[in-house]
Amino acid sequence: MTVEINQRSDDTRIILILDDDAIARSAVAAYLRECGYTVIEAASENDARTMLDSPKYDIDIVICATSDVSSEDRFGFSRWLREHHSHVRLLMAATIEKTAKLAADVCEEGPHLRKPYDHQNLVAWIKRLRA
Amino acid sequence: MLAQPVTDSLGTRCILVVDGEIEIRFSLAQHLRSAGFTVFEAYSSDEALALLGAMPFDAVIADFQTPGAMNGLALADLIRSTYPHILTVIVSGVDLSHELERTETAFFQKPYEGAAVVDLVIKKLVAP
Repeated sequence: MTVEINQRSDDTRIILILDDDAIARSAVAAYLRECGYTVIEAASENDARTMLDSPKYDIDIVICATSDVSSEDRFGFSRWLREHHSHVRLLMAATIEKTAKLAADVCEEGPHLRKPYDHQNLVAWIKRLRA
Repeated sequence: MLAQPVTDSLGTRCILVVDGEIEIRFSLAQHLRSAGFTVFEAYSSDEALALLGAMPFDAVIADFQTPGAMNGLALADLIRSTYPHILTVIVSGVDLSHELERTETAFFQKPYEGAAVVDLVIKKLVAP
């Protein structure tokens, strides 16, 4: 059972978001889906590599959340991405505020060309979900 | 092939897909999104519990061998006792239909058709 999303319409772009924080990852992914993107959620570098290496998924952008705990792995991942998938645009952010801002910027250049709501509202939503 | 959207109102129904295998999780989640559901994804039972504590769900579809502190069956048991309104579905490569026959949890053996899971969720949530 696989979904053949490589047979996509021209205006559908794929974003992979790599974040081991399920709540933040889910919220940012939901935001980007409202922008019209297909979003793949990866909780680990291994999962991200699996999807990037698969011929089924033509991934355009990777948004990579880093933290003090994960930063060494993430920088290793970014080197791997540049070496193996140099055409993929990599965006890295160390805080949820920066991740949300990146998502909003990507949203404005996406299929719908407008944000579903302000990125500050996305940050507020994530904080409410964590409370 | 993706299931066809059946109704716009499904977007208000929230489904959580829990599976440690990213391709299987993403594929099922996309089937459900294409049908019109709002879908969240969890890699492990721990992530699932974090999301269940943060937002309301109508259904949880979990792999039996999901990573984390509990397997899919234990997660489904916990959900049924804590959130009895949530539809639970277990998927697994091994046949667990006997273990689940006395419960309210539905079961699909892998490899399954995503459209069949979508049909069951629609049947249970939209036209019970």
